[in-house]
Amino acid sequence: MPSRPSSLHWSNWNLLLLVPLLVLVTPVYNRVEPRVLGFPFFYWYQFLWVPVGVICTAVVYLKTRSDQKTWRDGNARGDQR
Amino acid sequence: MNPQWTEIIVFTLLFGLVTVLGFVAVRWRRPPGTMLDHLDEWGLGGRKFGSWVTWFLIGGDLYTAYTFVAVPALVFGAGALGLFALPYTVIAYPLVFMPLLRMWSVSRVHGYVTPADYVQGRYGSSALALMVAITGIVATMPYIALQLVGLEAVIRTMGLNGTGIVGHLPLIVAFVILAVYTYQSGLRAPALIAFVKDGLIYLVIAVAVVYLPAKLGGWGTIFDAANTKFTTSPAAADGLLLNANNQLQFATLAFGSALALFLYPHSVTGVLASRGRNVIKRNMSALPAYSLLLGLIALLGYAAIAARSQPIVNAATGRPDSNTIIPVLFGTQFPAWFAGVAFAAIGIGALVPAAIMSIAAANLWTRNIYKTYLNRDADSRAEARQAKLASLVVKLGAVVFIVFIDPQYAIDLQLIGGVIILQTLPAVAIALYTRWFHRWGLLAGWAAGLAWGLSMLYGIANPMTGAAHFGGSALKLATLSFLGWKPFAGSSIQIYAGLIALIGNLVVAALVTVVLRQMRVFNGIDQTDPQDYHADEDSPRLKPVAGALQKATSPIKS
Repeated sequence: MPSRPSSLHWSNWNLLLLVPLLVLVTPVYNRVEPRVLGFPFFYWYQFLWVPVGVICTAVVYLKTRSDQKTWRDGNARGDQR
Repeated sequence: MNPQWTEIIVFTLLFGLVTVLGFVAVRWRRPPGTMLDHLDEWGLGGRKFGSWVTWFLIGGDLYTAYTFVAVPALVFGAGALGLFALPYTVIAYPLVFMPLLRMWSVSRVHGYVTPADYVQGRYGSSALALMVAITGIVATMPYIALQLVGLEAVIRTMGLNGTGIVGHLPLIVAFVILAVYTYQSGLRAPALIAFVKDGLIYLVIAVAVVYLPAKLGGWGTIFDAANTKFTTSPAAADGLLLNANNQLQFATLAFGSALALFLYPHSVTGVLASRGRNVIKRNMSALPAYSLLLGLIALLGYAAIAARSQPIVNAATGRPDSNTIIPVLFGTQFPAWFAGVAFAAIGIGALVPAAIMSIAAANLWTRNIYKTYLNRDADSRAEARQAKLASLVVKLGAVVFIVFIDPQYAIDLQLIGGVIILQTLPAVAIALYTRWFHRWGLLAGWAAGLAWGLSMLYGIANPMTGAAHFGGSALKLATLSFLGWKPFAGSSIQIYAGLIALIGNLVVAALVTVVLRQMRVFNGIDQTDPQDYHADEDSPRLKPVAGALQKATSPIKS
């Protein structure tokens, strides 16, 4: 449908949203040592991913927030699909 | 076990507090003169919740009593595998960040109340919308029943562990009260109660993760106790770490659960009730605070091992109920009054999601079955009336379920619910981005995914509980069969069956789509415009929230 503007408003910052998927790579952290505060590595490593996820989504929010103003409907530039 | 009066009194006081909140919620954030008899108001709280309310509402909605009870119970029993809940919620919000914004915008422009409304608008197909609606209702029902399982685990731990119908009486009373104020106040009731629920949960967990390790000798001792239990147990799959066979299961279960999370109708209800796109974006960043909480709660399963907690035998079924393990831990380790607070946190934690789920199921029934098939002329007033009644029926159904059917079946059905709700992903989530799939292709894919998923679950036995069927969602790759061809024969690696079914769904949907496109079969009319998917709260495209502005006319077009 070349005549219609694309409904995708892409920003490369969105790629950050894929970063947390790395937590699914279990062989990286399926071990006990090194322990921290008694927590085996398997556990504290996964807890560490919570702030990583927060940072990724927060950055995307901050970076796409201003875009929203220019992308507001009515004056959106249409990327051709 | 005798009734533990201190706990019961504290529990009852807090329960009484949220009951009052549930009833006064009807006036909360409602401009004078607004009618409640419109689904935008009753079912979506006026569609104007800001960041804070949304954070409490969605948090209170997604992290259910069952989560607080069953995840640590799984960690208690199986170890590392139960911790899948942590990566699950780490990846869920980034994954749904963008699709949810599109869903909010397009729903706000067209006045959609349910995901099935959207599918109807996108594909102009009542059949496809009906498929999404029925799947949503069927998947939600056992989820509501599971809230009762969580609530009952607490009530029985407090010593009210009677047999037969009397044993269920406290549960029934609690649920009738919940049903009445949800009927009256709609989504505003759980939204207001969610503040109390989340506040209590945070308090209890903050105390538990400091107090329990101090009492039990530190986290190191707790992990060592768990390790000793797992190394001496005869079961092969448990352990402080994953083993060679369940790593793939761990990752796919986390991934599949994350994909399914926002396909559940009650999650969508929480999102659609928010005011604008920035509210959703902020929440996708802030909701992982609950993930931290969930991870810590999961580890309480190990604390229960170190404290040598034993699950209570459910007097109604005569079997030990592993879901009581966290209530038992709290009851034996905390002073009585704080145990009462902790039990109230779990109990109220059951009420919020149960209310939102019943509202979501009622919205689906009203918009996509009642209005489409039974009463096409229903105006907004009739819709709201129908939805209120439906919410009562849904809750009644959940109570009947728990009283007359073994709770174990509720857990099995919840497992099935997760697998089948995943089968609506192509029609709901992928449709947000592309209309490439043909509507009949989506329907065929859904049917194929559903059939394959159910047959796989049927074939999974659980030697631990002695169940021959529906014994879990972990499929051995060796048994994976494509029309008799077994590509992984001999492998003992396990995988989450729901994800396999979704892949089958997508393949069938794509094949049928290619054929139908070749035959140029009509693919329905798309009501939505590409710009609809970006409309924000200040856009002139938005449909006015009807209850506040229009009185006698029917403002929702279907």
